[in-house]
Formats: sequence, structure tokens, C-alpha cells
Amino acid sequence: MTTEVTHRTVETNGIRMHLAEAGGGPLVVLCHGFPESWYSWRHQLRALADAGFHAVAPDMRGYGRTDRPEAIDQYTLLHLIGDMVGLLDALGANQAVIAGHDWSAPVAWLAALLRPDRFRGVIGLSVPHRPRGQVRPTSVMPQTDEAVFYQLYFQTPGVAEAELEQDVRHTVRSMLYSISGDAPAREGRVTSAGAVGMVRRKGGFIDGMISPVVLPSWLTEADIDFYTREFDRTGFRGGLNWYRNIDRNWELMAPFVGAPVNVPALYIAGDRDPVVRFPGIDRLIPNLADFVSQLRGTIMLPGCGHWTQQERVGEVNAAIIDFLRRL
Amino acid sequence: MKTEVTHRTVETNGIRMHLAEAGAGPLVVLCHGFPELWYSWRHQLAVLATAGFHAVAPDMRGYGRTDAPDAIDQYTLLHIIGDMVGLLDALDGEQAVIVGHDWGALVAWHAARLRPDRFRGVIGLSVPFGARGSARPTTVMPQTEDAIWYQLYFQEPGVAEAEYDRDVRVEFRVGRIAISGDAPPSTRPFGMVPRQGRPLRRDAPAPPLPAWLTETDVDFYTAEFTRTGFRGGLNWYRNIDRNWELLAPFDGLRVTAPALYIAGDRDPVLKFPGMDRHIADLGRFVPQLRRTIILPGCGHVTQEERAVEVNSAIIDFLRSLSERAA
Repeated sequence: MTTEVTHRTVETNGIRMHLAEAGGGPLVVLCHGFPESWYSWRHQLRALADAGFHAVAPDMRGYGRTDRPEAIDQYTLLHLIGDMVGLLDALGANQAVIAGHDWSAPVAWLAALLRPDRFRGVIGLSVPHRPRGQVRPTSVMPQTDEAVFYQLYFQTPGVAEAELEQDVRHTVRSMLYSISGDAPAREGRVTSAGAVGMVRRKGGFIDGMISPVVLPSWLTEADIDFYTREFDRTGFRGGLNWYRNIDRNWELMAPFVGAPVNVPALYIAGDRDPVVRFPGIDRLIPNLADFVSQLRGTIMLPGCGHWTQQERVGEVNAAIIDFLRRL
Repeated sequence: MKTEVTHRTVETNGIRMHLAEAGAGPLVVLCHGFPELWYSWRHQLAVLATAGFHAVAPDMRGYGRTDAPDAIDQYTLLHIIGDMVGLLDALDGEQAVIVGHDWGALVAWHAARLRPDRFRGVIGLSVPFGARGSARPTTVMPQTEDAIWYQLYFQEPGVAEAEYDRDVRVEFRVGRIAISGDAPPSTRPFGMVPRQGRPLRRDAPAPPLPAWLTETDVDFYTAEFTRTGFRGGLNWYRNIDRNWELLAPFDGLRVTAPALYIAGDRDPVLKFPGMDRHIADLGRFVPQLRRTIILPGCGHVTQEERAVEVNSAIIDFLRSLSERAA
């Protein structure tokens, strides 16, 4: 059995995509979020390989050693899902289970919704499946005189890039710590303004976060080094461009209004993940089975923050393998 | 039984959509092509109503009395299919059979492909379902030193609009006949627009009106397009490459709903490169294709040229679906 992690580059959907992989057997595709890397699945690849699966973690479009198209409109969910369908083709796989964390949880949920014939199961980490709302998403994101929701702050090209790229190591260190389960309790406060996910208009995304002196046990200086090297080379623009398609995605998903996710599904999140306290998401989680007809479980990990599969390797791996084996 | 055609406007997918409708019963949505209108289905509405169906023909996005958003990127197939799904919701129709002609055929095929739970059957007129190619479509359209494929000519905003607006009536009095089964012989290869001179031929004398087209019909189209211009419809063409990108997730996905394909053997669409083989092969991509009907002597304007044959083919198909459901 191969338990070594190997790397290669494939062609998919008109781009070159770098991936890390391990094992042989039924395919499991692991999709990272913002601002991350294939490396965010470093603790899953071998464990899934040892359990008898072919685990593949790409650098998603815009990240790492995968292509980063210039135009913002090249980062819609349909482009990202097209990449995943093309990835299956490139790997010679008719079907896969797709797991996605953070921004890639919507990629995974919607890939399963659009192509249940290719994605036979779906695992969402941190972000639950959200049915399409009635209104253009950015029009209802919170904003006050003093602060805006971070996803609004990310909209204007160049603004967040300048802040996040000013000191990449500080950005990586602050983000990985401040929304983890190890950050000090701040009454829901995560970023620079009072409420969850709010960014001061006169501040930035990182300036309310904490760069820890001592890293929590799940995170090493080598991990910080890896992410820092990657984003030093690529910048954050590719990942930020995903946010700049939120309204466009909403338009493009109009044909699928009311369509549920019908393949077997699992949702995993930490109870200290700020995402589970985002407006609307808190109420969505208890009702997830209304929109995900074969939801096999909702696992809320006590004390776990946003970086689900990095913070709680043992529990997340066991939950994924258990789900895969029951399919 | 109500066979009168009535009109109303509904909200769908963020726009206001005008529609003509007749009858009650299982819903049938009729999607027109370029440059057309709900009026292109004038010979179908009352007949389908009398046969026991609720026939609905909207002015599609960008046309007639329906909204025409400004931005070109508001005319992707996903926006237009979103309009159709929203139309079903606005009409309280859980399901419909979707029928489309020309560009509307692409809408119908892809709507049935993406939402088989909402579109329980599909009828394509003139344009068959085509699998997504491996290359960006505009990069492989024909062009020579002297002429370019009309879909390339349509790409540059404002150019084709100006040419059509120069004489709106000539498109409907001459242009439509030129692609029908009653077209006078032409020396120009179909679909190639000369790079120099007048791109759309407007110099030909108006042929006599064929039996399927009246001065009243020409007046109706002319009045509508004089009011709206052609930009909305042309914007559909300006999303051909974008549609190709956005449909990447659906590569290899077949149209699984029961289907019917109807075209005229004098339709220029059937002379597009590779189309003959493609039509012969349609069942590969549309496994529940019940029939392919090729109408001898009929041109591009299928349901207007051959109302009787098209109506009976549509009704036969609709009834076969109902019988299976029952």
C-alpha cells in the first residue's frame, strides 16, 4: 500500500492544477479553503490512504502551484466545480467523494448538487450547505458606520491584498491562531470590530487579530513556514477573487433554486468556529437536513475552531473514514 | 374551455417577464429564438390549449415587453434557464414540458438537462442538443480573409445593432424568408458575413410573401423590434464563450428527460459544419429521444412555416408523456 504523499500536476478545465495524493482505491477529493493550500489536508492524506482510499488534495484555482487566471470572473463556483469534474476526468475516475472546508465546502456541496452522478458523497467542514437566498448576497451583509462584514471588505480588488501581503508571516500566523479554538474567548469578537466577522472601516482584516507567541499544539513553526512561503510567492489575490464572485455565483445558481443536495452527506464543524455564528448560519445548521436529504450526521466538535481538519485530526479523520466506509 | 390568448407580466429571477398564455392543464413553456418574440408561437398557443394544456410563451430575456438588462453578462444560459425555473415558480407549476426554437432550443435542452426534476420533457426545434466541445467556441468558428461567421460578427457590441436598426422591417420582410423553406436561391454561403461592405444583405428585392407569413406578422415584429432594438437578443450571442466556461461542471451529463427534435430539411442550421452526423447521433446525448422529425421543404422558421405538422408532433409527444405518467 502506498502511504507516501506524492505530487503531480494535471490539466483540468483549461488550467494546470497541482495536487498532493496518497493511496489507491475509491477516490476522495479534499478541497481547501481561504487562505490555504493542499497542505491543509496534510494530516488526512496518509490516514485516508491507509484506510484504503485514493486521497487527492489539490491546490485549488488561484492557490499554490495551481494556475491563477487574471480575470476575477474566472473564479465563479461553476469554474471551481468545473475544475473538480475535470480533475476526476484527469484521474480517470468516474466518481469520487468530495470533501471541502471553508470556501470549498460550498464547492463540495454544490458539486454534489449539480453532479450527483460524479460525486457520490459529500463532506462539508465548517460551512454548511446554504440554499440560495432571495436577494443578492452582498446587499444583505452586515455593515454599520464603523464596520463592514469581512466579505464586503474583500470585494474591492487590491485592498485586502495590500493588507494581507504586507507581512505574510504575520497574516498566516494571526489568521490560523485567531479563529482557532485556542484563541481566547472574546464574546464572539473575531476581527477588528465588535460583532463576528466585522472589519473596522478604518482598520483591516488582520489588525484585530492576535499573532501568538507560542503556537497551539496542532500548529508548528514548520506549518507557518510552509504557508508563508506559498503566499509570499503567490500573494492572496487568487483566493480573494473567490469572494469577488459571491453575487455572480448567486446569479448563476438561479437555475438550481430549490434543488436539494441528494447524495449521502456529512457536516463537521467546531463549536468555536466563527462561521457557525455568522448571520443565518446559526439557524441553518439545526435544519440542514431540510436541504440535504441524505445528511448522515452533523458533528459539532466541542472547543474546535475554524481550522477543523487541522485542529482535530483524530476526530475528523475517524468521522471521514467512518462516513466513507458506510457509503 | 379557454382558448383565448391572454397576456400578463410576472416576476422571475429578478426581471419582469411578459408572457402570452392559453388554456389550462399540464404546463408547456414555449421559448422563442433570435430575433423573435412570444408571437413566434402564435399558431401553437390556442391549439395546445384546445388539446388540454396550459401553453405559455414568454418574451424571453432581452426581448419584447420583458426586461432587457444592460450588462452583457446578464444573458448567460444560466440566467435564461434561471428565468424559466422562476417562471414555473411564478406560475405555480411544479413541472413543465419545455419547448424551444433556435436559441430557445438551447435553453430548453439545457434546462431539461440541469433540472430534470422541473422539466419533465423537452422539445427542440431547429437546434439539436450539442455536447460541450473541448475548445472555446469562438476560436473555432469559420473565418476567412473576406468573411466571418455571423456569430463572430455579432460579438462586437453595437455593430450588428446598427445594421439591423438601419431598416428593421427588412429583417422580417426579407431576412426571415431568406432562411425559410421558401428562400429564393442564394449565391452567398449561409452564415458568412463579408468583412467589407454591407454585412447583412439588404439589397435583395422583397420576395412575395409565403403562405405562412402575412403583412400583419411583419408589422408586429417590426413594431416590437423598432421599439426595443436588437441588443437584448444579440447579447445572447455575446455569452457563447462564457456559457462554454460556465457549463464545464456539466461535461458528459446527458439530457435524460423524454425528448423530441424537429427541424426542416432546408433549415440552414442543418448545414452547419458537422450537423448531419451530429443529428444522426443525437440519441447518444439524449437517451430518451423519442423521435427526430425532419420536415421536407421546411426551413429555419419551423413552427411558423409548418404550424399544423409541428402542432400535431408536439401534441402527440405531450400525450405520450401524460399516458406514461398515468
